[in-house]
Amino acid sequence: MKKLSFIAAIMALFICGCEKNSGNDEQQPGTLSFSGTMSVIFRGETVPTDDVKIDVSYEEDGTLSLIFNQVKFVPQMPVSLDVKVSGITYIDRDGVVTFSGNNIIPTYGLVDAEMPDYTVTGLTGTISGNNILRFSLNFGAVPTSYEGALTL
Amino acid sequence: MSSILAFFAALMLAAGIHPKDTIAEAVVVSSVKQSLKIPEVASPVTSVTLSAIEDRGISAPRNLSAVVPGLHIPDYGSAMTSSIYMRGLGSRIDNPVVSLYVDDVPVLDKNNYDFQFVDVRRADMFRGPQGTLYGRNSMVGILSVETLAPSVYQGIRGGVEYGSANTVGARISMYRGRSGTSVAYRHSDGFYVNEYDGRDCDKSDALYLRVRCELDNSRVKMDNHFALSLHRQGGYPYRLWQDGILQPVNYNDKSGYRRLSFTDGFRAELLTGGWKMNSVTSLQLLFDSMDLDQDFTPKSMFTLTQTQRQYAVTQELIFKPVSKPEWWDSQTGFFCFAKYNNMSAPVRFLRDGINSLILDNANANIPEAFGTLDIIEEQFPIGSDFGIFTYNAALYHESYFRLGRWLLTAGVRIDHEGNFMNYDSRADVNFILAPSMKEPYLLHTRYDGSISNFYFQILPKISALYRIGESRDKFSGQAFATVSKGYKSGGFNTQIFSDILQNKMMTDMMGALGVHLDSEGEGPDAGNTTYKPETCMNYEAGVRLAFNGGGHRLTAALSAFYLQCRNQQITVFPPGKSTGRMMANAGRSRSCGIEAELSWSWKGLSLQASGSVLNAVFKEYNDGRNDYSGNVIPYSPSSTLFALAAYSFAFDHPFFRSLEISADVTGTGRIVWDEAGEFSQSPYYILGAGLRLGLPHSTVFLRGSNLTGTEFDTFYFKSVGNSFFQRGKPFRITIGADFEF
Repeated sequence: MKKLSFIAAIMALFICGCEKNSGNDEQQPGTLSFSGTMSVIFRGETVPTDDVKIDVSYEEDGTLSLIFNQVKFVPQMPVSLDVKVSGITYIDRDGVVTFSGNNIIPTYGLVDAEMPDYTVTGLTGTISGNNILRFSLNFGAVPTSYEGALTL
Repeated sequence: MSSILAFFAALMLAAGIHPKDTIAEAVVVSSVKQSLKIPEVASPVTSVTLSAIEDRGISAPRNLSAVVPGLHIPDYGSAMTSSIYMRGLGSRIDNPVVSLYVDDVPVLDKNNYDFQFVDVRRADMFRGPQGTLYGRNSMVGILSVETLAPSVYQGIRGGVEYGSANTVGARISMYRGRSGTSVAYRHSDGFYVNEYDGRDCDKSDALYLRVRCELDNSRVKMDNHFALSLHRQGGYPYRLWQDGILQPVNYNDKSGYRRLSFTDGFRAELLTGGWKMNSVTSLQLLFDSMDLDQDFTPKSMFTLTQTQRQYAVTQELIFKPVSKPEWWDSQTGFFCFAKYNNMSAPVRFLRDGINSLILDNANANIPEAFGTLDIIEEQFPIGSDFGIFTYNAALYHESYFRLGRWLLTAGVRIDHEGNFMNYDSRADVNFILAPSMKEPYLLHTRYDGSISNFYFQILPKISALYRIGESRDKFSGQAFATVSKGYKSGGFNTQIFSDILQNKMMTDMMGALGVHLDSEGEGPDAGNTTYKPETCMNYEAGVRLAFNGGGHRLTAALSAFYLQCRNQQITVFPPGKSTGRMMANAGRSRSCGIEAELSWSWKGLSLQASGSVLNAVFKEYNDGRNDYSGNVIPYSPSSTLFALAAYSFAFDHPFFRSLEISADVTGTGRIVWDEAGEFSQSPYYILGAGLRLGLPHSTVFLRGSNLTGTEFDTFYFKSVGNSFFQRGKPFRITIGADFEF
């Protein structure tokens, strides 16, 4: 608890108001890294994957991005991907960041290649005061949810 | 051997065209590294002197194949590919298993082994490991070449010749006072045509210059030889094996080899304080460049251009006691060298290679939903630059104990060598994954760093030789037994760096795409290119006999050997690595065999024969994918044969002095081309013949090689999954004249 309070205090030093994102009380740090469980509903079954690392990046244009590191959306994928969902609007109030997005085409890799087949819809999520990241979205037709804790 | 020398000495006197070698009968070599006369050396030795070298057209070391029992130097590729095989062991790349000394100077780089024999006074092949006296790379023997010296010969000599494939040769030498200068030129249009453009693909030109100076006062003898060699050659007449048919030579990209080499060797002999000290110093420069169409097909897949600039200095000091008891002699020596090689070896990928070697593999791993990978460039280089510094330092001692008819030899060498390499491999490509990516992405891949490699070797030798009779007796000879060790140096296999960078490019490309493969293992790295020395222990016994009576001169030599090779340098595919090769000292092999030589002369008739049979197999060879243990070692023939018959007529005529007719046959036993034994060359025989007409101050000759047009393969390899062979040279005829004033 003391550790989390300390983290919150440090984070508070970096939080600032952002003109482009009205409703945000404080400025956000650059990037936060989370580790947790991602659950994918595949063929009617919920398939969880532990130890999935997701970065939340606060962009200069006042939006945030979710960066999925080495993820598979279905168990049968022969490869895992670094996927970025950007242009997500957010509100930071009372220490809780609330974000949402719809019809966002995710990109992957440094090359920012697009994945139109996996267009994100129905994205909603929060970063709570105790630094827990939770969100749900649809990657194309694949419902996905995530819960993870901040890592240092 | 002495009978052959006597025969040719008689011919020399009749024709007056060969220099008098006043010490030929004693078979003493003037090499400062040999304290013993040839008959006292407890190893089989084959010696070929100037007369035989020039009369038989032995123009380069490869022409000694089979003349020396068990020696096989295949004629393929270019002057750069001097692969030497003896007693079942050999090497295609990097270090050789036979070291070459010219006037006591070690030729450090195998790329210089293929050189023109011009005024070579004698060539001695000492068979079996000679590690104690000669150190590195004398694992199965050494070839010691001595050139003609002004102290031995004075006058002008030379020759011209013309032969098949528009082959022209000319040489002239002048020895006056304390110096001698030799110049030689050779051109050939080549024997192979590249069907792709209809041109001769192995045209060659070679120019050679040597200047030798001697200075001798009461205390110091000095001898300097300077040699310059320029060689320009077309490529590599390799033929694709396809559907059971050997296709014609047919490739589209530039292939060839150019070499400029310079050697200056300085010998000094000084008597001081009861010791004779010999010093041999050399400076060796090598600048060469090889271009290679690596797929050897009309497709534009990938090419290699390898350029080297090499600088080396060597120094050897040898101490021999002047005053010593009758029963003991010795030599103690120190040797060192330093060599720096600046090498650039870029591989250029062309369009067909980009598609088949890179994109096809990549797109097989990328899910279809993500698109198709393409590289924008029509061609791109994978640059590879290397700076390799090598040094060696060794101390050695040999003692010789004479006890009645016995001569016992014991020696040891402590040899240390180190290698440092800086490497820098890089590639820039623009790639796009369509339709996911909107525009190409510039991928920079680089792999650079440094690595080193050090090792010590202890190289012992013991031998016993028993003298049968005396050299002046009708019947004489020697019986000997020897145990000796040799080694082939370690180093770095720079060819693997292209594997490393290709693997890194794919990894970096996948990384840029954010794609991670499930089977992503550890790729190869620079550590995978290093290899330690391979070593060889040899156990040998033999006998040499000579009979001289009733006008007959007969010599015979027979030896049997058993050789064990450990820490053999092999390429493996290591488990746990996702791709690529690495070098490993993971092989063991053994070779056993018998070698024999015979010569007989009587009046005008002379016969000579030499042969070997051997069995050389891997005791242990698992490359991570296949186990070849028990298989025959490839590229080395299972047997060799050489036979020569000659008859000389002497005429009492002021103009026509003599006529010699000769015929010879060279036989090569079965050669397995690969570790699996899938491909092999059956035994084959090459017939030759010659006519030599002795005139005042000159000889006119006619020489034929491969008279029956035997077809045989001289080399095999695989590239991008295809098998390739090189055919041996066809029927050839040469006419020429030697002169001397």
